[in-house]
Amino acid sequence: MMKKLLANLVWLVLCIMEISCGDASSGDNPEIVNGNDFRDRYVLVVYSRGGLGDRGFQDKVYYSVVSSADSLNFVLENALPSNAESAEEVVERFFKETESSAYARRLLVLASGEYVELLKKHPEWKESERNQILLLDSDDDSVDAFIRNISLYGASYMAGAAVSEFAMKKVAILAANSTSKSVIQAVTGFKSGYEREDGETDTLDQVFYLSEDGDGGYGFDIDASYFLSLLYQKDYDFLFPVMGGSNLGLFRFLREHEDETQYLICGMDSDQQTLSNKIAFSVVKRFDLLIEDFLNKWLNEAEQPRKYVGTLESKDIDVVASHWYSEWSPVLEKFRKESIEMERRYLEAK
Amino acid sequence: MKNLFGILFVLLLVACSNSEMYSGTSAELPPQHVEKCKVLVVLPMEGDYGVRWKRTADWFNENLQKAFEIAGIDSSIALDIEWLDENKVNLDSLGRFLATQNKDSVVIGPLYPQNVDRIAQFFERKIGNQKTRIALMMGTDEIIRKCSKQDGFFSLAEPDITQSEMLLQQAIAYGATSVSLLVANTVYGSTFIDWFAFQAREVGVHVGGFYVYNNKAEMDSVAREVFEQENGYVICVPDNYKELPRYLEIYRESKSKAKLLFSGSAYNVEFFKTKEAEGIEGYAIGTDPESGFDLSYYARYKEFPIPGEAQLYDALMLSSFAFWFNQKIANRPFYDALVYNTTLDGDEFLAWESSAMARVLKGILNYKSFNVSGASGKLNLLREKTSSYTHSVYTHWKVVNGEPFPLEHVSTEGSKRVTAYKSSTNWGVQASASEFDSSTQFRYSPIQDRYALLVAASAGWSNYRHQADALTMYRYLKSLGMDDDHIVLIVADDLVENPENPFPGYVYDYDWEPLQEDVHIDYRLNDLEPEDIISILAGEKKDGLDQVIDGDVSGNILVFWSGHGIRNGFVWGENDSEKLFTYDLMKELLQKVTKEQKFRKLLWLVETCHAGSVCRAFSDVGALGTMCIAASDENETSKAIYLNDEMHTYMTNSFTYVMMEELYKVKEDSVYIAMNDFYNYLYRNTLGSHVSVYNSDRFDNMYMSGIAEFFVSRDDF
Repeated sequence: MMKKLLANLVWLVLCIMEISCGDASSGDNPEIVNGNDFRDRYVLVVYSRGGLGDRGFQDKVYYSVVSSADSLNFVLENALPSNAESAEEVVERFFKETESSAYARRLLVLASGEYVELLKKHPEWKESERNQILLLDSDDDSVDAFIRNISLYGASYMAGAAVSEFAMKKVAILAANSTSKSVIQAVTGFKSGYEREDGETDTLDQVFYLSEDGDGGYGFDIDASYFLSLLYQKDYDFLFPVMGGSNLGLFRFLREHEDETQYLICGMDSDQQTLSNKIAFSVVKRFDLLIEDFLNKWLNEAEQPRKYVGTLESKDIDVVASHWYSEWSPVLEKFRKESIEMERRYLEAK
Repeated sequence: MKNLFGILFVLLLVACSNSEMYSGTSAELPPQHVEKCKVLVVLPMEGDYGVRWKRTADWFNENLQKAFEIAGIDSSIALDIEWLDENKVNLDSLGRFLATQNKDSVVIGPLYPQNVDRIAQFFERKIGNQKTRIALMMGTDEIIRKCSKQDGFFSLAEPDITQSEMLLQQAIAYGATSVSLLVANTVYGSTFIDWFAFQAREVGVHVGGFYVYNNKAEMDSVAREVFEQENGYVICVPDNYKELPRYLEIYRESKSKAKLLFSGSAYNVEFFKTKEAEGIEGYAIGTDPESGFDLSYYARYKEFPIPGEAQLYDALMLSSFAFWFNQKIANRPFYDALVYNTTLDGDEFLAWESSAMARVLKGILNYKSFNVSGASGKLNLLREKTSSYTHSVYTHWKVVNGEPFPLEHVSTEGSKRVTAYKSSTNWGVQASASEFDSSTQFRYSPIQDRYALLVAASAGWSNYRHQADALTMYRYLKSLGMDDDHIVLIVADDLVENPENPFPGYVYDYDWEPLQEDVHIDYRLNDLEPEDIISILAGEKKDGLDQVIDGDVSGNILVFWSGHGIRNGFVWGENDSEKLFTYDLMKELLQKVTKEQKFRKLLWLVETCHAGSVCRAFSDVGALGTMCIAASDENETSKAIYLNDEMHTYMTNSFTYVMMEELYKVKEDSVYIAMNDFYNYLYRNTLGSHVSVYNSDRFDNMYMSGIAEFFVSRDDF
């Protein structure tokens, strides 16, 4: 009887020890692994607040990284912070987990230019042998990171020139704000194309800004709708929207007021022709190709430039006519060379 | 003592036998020990449904295993899924089997509401142990209302009430001034039938008409009628996608000028590939675009998920977390384990991807709970009943080039990428909160007396609940000290000895408490005519009418009426009775008792269908001190609940049940409840109909007056 009780107690102690050991080996004391195991390489992508799901360029980034995670074999984590504090926490965790992490190489992808300020705020967040940082949608090379961006100037110039060629006299630009570099590029490019010397049209002075806030104006679905509901009463021929996710509000407005609106518009960031039959063409950024290329090289530890800015010439961006506006294709094409040249000059001047 | 150690020994031996198998470093693949967890999935398998469900489940299992590998946890779980085609399986056998399971089991599905209904009946009748937990992927209001009383069900989608509202809002956004509803009279369609008119009134659009069909034969003529008559918008709610081609055929034949919007039941990617479907649009349950599920799905399969796939993924994910929790932390009832990782509110942790799942799985080992959100979006449980998720994202789809393209995403809450529509729930809160004028002041003489008139206006075993509810109210009033001289009770009194009564001599309330003892019935229903109610409340005795309420300006009168209702009348007697207590009679009554000063305050509580069509007389007359709270508005039905398998009948009604539960609480806790709070409570908790109030602005200050005035004086507390 006593023996049996003792045996049970011994079992009890042994089992508790066994369980404890099991827990301790559950990733708390990792061993850095090298080789072809998918767990060698870890990629954390931090999107901007509300940046996913608007059919903008971050959707392309997401699409590209989830496809690459399977084909290129790495551990992927996507973070969709709901606010600035939560974004900061996620990035901070990335650096904090460096020591406890089992990954041999780690990559932090900041999918929006709005994170430049975050990197500047935390100079202690530095690249190291195990950790690299990739910043998208920004050409600010003062931060310690790989930079990948796409210039909007050339494509916007091409769009402006085509609109001018169709002799559209009443044209306006709708911009998220007046300070973002990408917005400035798009506005300047479109205006330049529209106002080109041999063009059919005069000066374009109708530029409306959704937000006075630095990087704001990208996520105002409803506001954009209201904004446009005032505009449509004016007899515009064409609207060029550079408002990020706020464009969705515009497209919705156009769907719901199809018969009352006369003007055409363009899609931005991706081919958005299915969102409204008023979209004559779309400016398509190929961030998906950029990041796929970057990941390939990063995973293979191949050399690559710290900074790269894609252009119309490099085919990282293009202007694509919607299928029911096929007459725009040759017109857009007519201005491709000129647009490439103008973009080269613009970027050199900067 | 010996036994205790023996039990400890066995339990720990099991735990250790698993851990003994762990070996090697965390880098080695695959894990050494995989615990298989059984899940039954009951879904339609026709067309490409089966392929889609299975590949989504495979994808989930793949991600789950990857999550364990990422987390570096040596042991893991995997779901062992058994698939059943809900259109082929014997649902009655399955329902009975599930309801009588002795151990925790997890079932996902069925998809079609009528099939859920078939299974739910076995749970509603409370047979067996009912340990099975069933996750529903769609949210038909009728089903959620029934199942919310059962522990076994939880819905991963909010009720279709929201979908009905969104379709209406979309029609308005397109400029509609008139909207008609074409709907199949089925379990799925019932939500739209119940809510359409109410919502149309709320959003201020003219209802062109209700076009309801009961079968395929009726469908053609009803559809043709609406397409020919409506020039605005028609919201089309077929029972399933198979009816869609015929809808469109009739639409073209009738050369209709109407524009069509379709509910999610029309969604079928195979039919969308045909030229007939090009350009049609509607709403369907979808995924939050911010979860990334749609994009990942597209990256993997080169097509978008169909409605339900994200919900299936989430059901599998939540089940896995619950299994893991039970295996490693505490063996609790499955549902508790599930709730542990979801949330009532607060921040969410997007958990459906493998890396995020890894954090949850590791977190659980460290006793950490997460407010997870899933592939479909937020997973916030209904606070009071935790039986349904309150947040669903709907996709506004349009068929373009043979594909259902998502135009936008809409939810009741909205987000950066999801347009917010005002939810029906919020309507309720806002409407009830802003209904009353807090400055209202009327002078009343002190209360000297209280009276009650209790009417169960139906007869027969199938209407058991009406008499049971009246008797429940009678017993409640008596328990508060009201005597029979102050209560007039009118019932058919055909239950106790009814041949269908399995317990002769007894009548029970919904809580199995007997009701037949010490009851003084003043009138049998057959002995009276509807008009006699006026005489009773006016205190006019006559032959055969000796029990009346002879009140005056110092006495409050409570009337509780339970029965059937049609438009403009409460049915008196059998279901097919032509006798009605009509709107005109109500008006006459109110004018008479007001003129003759027969009450201090008069409160009617009414449980009938279409109650508002009679009770609006209160507002129309506008008599000081009168008010009516009704279970339903004029365009809808009120709802029976608690079908009892032994009694073969419903035990009570939704509105009355909620009211009695609140009244019991008031009595037990001896608390004072303001009329405003009482109404709000009824409004928010009554399932299946909209509790409506009439003439509140001429009654009293709703914030200052309380229900105690009718049940017990405030001094008695």
